[in-house]
Amino acid sequence: MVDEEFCVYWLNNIRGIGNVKISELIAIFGSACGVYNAGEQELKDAMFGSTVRFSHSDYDNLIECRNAEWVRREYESLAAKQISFTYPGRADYPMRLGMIYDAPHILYYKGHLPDNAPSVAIIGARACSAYGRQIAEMFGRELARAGVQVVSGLATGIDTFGQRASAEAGGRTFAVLGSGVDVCYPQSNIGLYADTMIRGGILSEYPPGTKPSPGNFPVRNRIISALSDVVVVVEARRRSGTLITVDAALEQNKDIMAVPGRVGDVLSEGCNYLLKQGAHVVTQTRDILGILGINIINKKEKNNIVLASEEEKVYGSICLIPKSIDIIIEETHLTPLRVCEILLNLELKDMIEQVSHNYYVRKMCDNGD
Amino acid sequence: MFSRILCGNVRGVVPDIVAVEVDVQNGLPGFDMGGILAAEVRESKERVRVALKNSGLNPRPRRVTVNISPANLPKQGTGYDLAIAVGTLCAEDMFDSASVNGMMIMGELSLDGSVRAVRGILPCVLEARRRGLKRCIIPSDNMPECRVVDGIEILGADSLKAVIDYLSGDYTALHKGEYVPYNSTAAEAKYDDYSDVCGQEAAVRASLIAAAGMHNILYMGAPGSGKTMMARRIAGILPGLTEEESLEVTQIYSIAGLLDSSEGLITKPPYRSPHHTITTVGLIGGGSRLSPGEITLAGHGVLFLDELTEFRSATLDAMRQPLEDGEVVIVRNSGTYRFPARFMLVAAMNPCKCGFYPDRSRCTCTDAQILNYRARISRPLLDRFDMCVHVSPVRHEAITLNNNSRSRCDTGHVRRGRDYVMSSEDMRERVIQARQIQGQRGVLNSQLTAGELERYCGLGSEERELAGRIWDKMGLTARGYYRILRVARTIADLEGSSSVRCSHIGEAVAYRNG
Repeated sequence: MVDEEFCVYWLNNIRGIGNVKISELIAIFGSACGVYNAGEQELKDAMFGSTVRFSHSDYDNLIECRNAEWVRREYESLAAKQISFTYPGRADYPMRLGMIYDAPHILYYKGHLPDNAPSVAIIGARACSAYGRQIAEMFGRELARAGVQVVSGLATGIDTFGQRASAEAGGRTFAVLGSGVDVCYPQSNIGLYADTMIRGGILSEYPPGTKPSPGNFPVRNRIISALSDVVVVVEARRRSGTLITVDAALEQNKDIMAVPGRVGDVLSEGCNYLLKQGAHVVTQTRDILGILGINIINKKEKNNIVLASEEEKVYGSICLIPKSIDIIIEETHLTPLRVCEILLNLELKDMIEQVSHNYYVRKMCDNGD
Repeated sequence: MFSRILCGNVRGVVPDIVAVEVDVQNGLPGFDMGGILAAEVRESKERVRVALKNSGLNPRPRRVTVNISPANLPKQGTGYDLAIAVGTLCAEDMFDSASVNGMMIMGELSLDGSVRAVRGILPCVLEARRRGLKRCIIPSDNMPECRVVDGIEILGADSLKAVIDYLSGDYTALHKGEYVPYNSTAAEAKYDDYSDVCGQEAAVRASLIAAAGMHNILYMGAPGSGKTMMARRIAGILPGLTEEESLEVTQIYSIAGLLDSSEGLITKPPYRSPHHTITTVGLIGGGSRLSPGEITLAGHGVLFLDELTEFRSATLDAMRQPLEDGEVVIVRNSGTYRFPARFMLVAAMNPCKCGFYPDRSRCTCTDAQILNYRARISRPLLDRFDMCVHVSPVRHEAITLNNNSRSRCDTGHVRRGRDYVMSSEDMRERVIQARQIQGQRGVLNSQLTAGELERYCGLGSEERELAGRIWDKMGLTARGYYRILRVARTIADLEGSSSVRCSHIGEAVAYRNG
């Protein structure tokens, strides 16, 4: 009369009953269906005899939900919202996810689920620098070209830049949300949200419609790390959510890679700390591919652009840290008129980028250097 | 017995000649006034009565009726006192009424009978000349501002007694004004000098360009980087006002009562920097007295808005129309008033709330906060800035170089280390040269229309190709493109180039806004 799929959905939508309690119930009754079809006395005995502390309201909620019309209604409305879900035991449930001890009992998704191809999490600070942005974009782009899946959290900053670059390069990218899969947070990322849905998938363990609440994010971080083989930290402060993901990844026995930064840069403190703790140093995409065991033929394109000496001077003065036009003028001893002209030329040649008004950075060349 | 004295009245910034009619007759003693009078005009009767008594002229208690005609126009200001006093005496036959023919009389009376300065003398005197009046009596303290007015006899009065003596035939009782031809360098105002600025060459250069073409400019930068310092110096490199501009500016200052009585005409471009708590009326003008706002007071000069994001957005947005039209039109039930408002808008703001963006090691603002902060300035207003330049914090080397090895070389440039630094004087000279070129075209570069740009900024094939690439790369709009061309034209004028070249476009792009 009821199928396992509905029972899983039902079991995961009872107020007060979370991942741990669900695990316990499934352990006792064998499956979600078993829980659904269990008699009241049977349930009572099982719940209050268990080592997990079930409360009386848990029991009441469970009984009430069993007969509730809304569960059925919402279950049936999933298809209209183009939301699917998977659960442990199904063939499409990501294998990597099943290997962690607190794997979610349900994983909603829009788009596709990640497959067993190599995948990498690109994570980092929300308020990142232009340097972090360039590196995240480089990794995203080049990993996409190497056929590596990119997993992240759709947060602003590093997450966004890595995922967007991957999506734009035609790669598969997956976002694990701390809200329902139909809630785009932050809203400003709606474009990337839509792209990700087409190119890869939006995943979440929270029921559709769940608002992003601060407590959800650290919890979903374990899914980000679980879904990836390697976690790459591009930029992180010493105390940050990024390091929570890293902790989860360490528990799951994943490889951690960190991009080194300058000593004293607050945005690199987290990375440098990880390196000190033994994380792998990553300075180019090939480092990541190496850990993944992927060998790509190194077809390094020769940089054929030849710069005039004054251009070389200006280009040489620009680095990965945003530098203002005043400083460039001071360092090159050229006239403002000339510097402006050269900057425009370099910008048109795609060699530098204006990150904020009158602030310039070098554009990262592909393949590492 | 009846008399009629001409007097000046200013409404908004438009002067008018009105007639003070005084009738004195027998009857119950009294003093009545009519003609839509503001409080200070109505209070005039007490000042006049006491001043007459204290001047030793004791009029008999009679029934006095005063009307200021045309009676349907509102009158305000204290300039009527002297005309009412003289009119009363004239109606009493104290002197020959023919002696006030073709004469305008203005001035405020003190209780002791002395004449005090009033606002709006210069526009009234000019209006009197236009109407063909022969002479006018004004307070002596207002004499300096009327020095350049030729073709009308100007007499300065110290006291009511002196005026009566003059009208009774003692022609030495009043000071005769002397005509002094206009000289823009007559009064050199003291401005801070650009050679005080350390490094920051791009910002200084942008200031030069902005001044040369009267382009509105926005300085962005961290707190303490010197945005305000840069902006304060801009007025100092603008060329002096022409006679026509000077008269316009001085008239407005005269009406606003901001004229320094010893100074005479304003020959330097005004510099106004209102605090960000200013009201819309304070900025735009208006109010019940129809006083000119800061944008009018900054006419032909600089309006500097420091901490632009702190201004109320409704107040800032009210500037959009005046920025476009060069005048502000204020409509009240008593009529429509036009205030001139042709000024250069200079503004400074932080790039984000903490001020350190894009230095991410110091700035902790989130992207959303930065966007929110910038959204305080509406896009249409930002669009009216032709130029935007980032002022980066001064580095220590620049400061030490500035203090240790500064010397002036032959060309007037200040030498600092191995670089030459421009002083305000050189910059002004270059601005004047660029303005002369613009003068030949008859329009300032910042006011070039699309059609005029086509005519004056003809691009060669190389420049056209570059412009196309910039357009594609930066996603320009037509408006943004024209802004770049206007600035490029100014740069070309500064470099003495007749055509706009790639390098000029390149620099204009670096200072583009948005």
